[in-house]
Amino acid sequence: MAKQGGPRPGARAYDTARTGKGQATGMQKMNLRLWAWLEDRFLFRQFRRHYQEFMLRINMQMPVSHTERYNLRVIWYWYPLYTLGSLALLSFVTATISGILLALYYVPSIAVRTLPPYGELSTEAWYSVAVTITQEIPFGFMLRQLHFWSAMIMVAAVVLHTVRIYMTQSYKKPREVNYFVGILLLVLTLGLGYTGYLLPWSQLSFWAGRIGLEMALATPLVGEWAAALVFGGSALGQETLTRMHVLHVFVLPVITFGVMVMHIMIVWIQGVTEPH
Amino acid sequence: MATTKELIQAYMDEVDRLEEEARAKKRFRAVEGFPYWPHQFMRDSILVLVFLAALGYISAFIPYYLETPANPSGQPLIILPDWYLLWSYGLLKIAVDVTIFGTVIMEGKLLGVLLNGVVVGFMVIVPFIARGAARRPVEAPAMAGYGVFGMLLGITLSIYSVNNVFYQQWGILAQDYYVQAGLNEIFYILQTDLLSILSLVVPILGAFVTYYFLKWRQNITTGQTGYENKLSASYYKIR
Ligand code: HEM
Repeated sequence: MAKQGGPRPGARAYDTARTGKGQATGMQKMNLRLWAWLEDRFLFRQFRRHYQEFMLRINMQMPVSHTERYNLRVIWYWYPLYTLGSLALLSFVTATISGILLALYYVPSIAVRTLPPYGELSTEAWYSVAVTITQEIPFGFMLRQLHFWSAMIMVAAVVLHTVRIYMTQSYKKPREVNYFVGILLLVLTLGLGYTGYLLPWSQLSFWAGRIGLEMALATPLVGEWAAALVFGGSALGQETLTRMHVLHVFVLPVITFGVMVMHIMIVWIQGVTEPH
Repeated sequence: MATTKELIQAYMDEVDRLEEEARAKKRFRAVEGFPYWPHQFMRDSILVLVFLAALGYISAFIPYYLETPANPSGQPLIILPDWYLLWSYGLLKIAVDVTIFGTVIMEGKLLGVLLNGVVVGFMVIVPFIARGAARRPVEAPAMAGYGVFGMLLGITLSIYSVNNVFYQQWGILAQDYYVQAGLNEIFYILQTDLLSILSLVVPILGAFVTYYFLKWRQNITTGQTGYENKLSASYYKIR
């Protein structure tokens, strides 16, 4: 590594060490010079520092967290509650992977695709979930289960994470901003769940869509506009499904991921509170 | 007479000292809390294994089946959002037209939507109303009560969202003493059947029970109330 400007710290240290420690023999000088030469090139001191830090960490720092350092009673059996945020992140990751695979086969269309017992009611969307994914593609059924259960675990984890944050009062200084970011994440998670619920266009999807549409329309001033933006008009139809699809597979996951990264970066800077 | 090893040692120490000097010129902020790396990360790595195993197991053995396709002209008996949005649907059901002396001043649907916003508002104000250094529920019984109220309300509203099922099972829940007493002539904004009244009363009761339970815990642990303020001053300085 070329060092620009000024005397190299290595050279100064070499002089200090050589002159400060009495008279060295010629052999010793040569050895030291060899070491310094290697040191300059292979940065042994960095390895030494990493090694020292590592030893420090495994010997002392790992068990000595601040609760122990200040002799506070650690409630260790609460630790699982402190991994709920990570559980939310993990289930988001598995939901994303299984979701990408599902999206390859899902058809966001309400055009009629007849299937014996349901006739005209069976739409492309419902057919692609009920037949293509669960019956035709290999492991399709499992894929759908993985996506469904990842989503369930994620919502449950986020809700319980919120309860943990609340009950340990972790929203206090310096974590207020992260608490607000968290509320945004909670809303985004519920939004992901709702939009996904509508995609198979089954009975429950349709009527849950109806509830959402009515809620939007009941809002004064922005109601009509919000219904048009999110549900594609004041009646459920192809527009609704298209919008739900775009929201569920692109807009909401991307925003949620971005906000999650921000949230965890803040936790990284501030550290996690400890149960005591 | 220094040995070669000592010379090298002195050399390395000197390099480290110079680096430390350079680093000391910058200001470093103390980190509060449990470091994400490596402490939290260690917990999480265990979680990954448990989670993947559990997810695979649940997905394989608790299958979730698709319902029949959408039928726009045939509303089923029970229509529901997913479980985590039941509270919101419950709010829509529990809100009725706001009437004062028989005049409608706000539609029930609108009130239901606004109440959803109120719930988010209740969460947002938390850091503003919870002051002081208390961290445990026992140190801040009022905040704990507030939280228990919110959680129980979420549960009771979810139950209320399927009120017709409960009415079928226990007819008494559908009885409307409020209306029978003629009180709705004056002012009302929510449903007044027994189930809806319970949906509000149970969370409020839960909040008070939590509050007084924690106060009692404070007393038996310290023999005095309000100890947490004294304790917190020194106990939480290090955080
Ligand atoms: C997708 C949703 C979320 C993810 C992935 C997530 C992730 C995390 C992670 C990994 C942590 C580290 C500590 C822990 O796991 O307990 C954390 C801490 C935190 N989260 Fe979340 N979180 C989410 C939602 C929320 C919500 C809904 C809130 C609150 C309304 C929230 C507020 C906080 C706060 C205040 C902390 C700092 C806690 C402390 O230091 O003790 N988060 N989050």
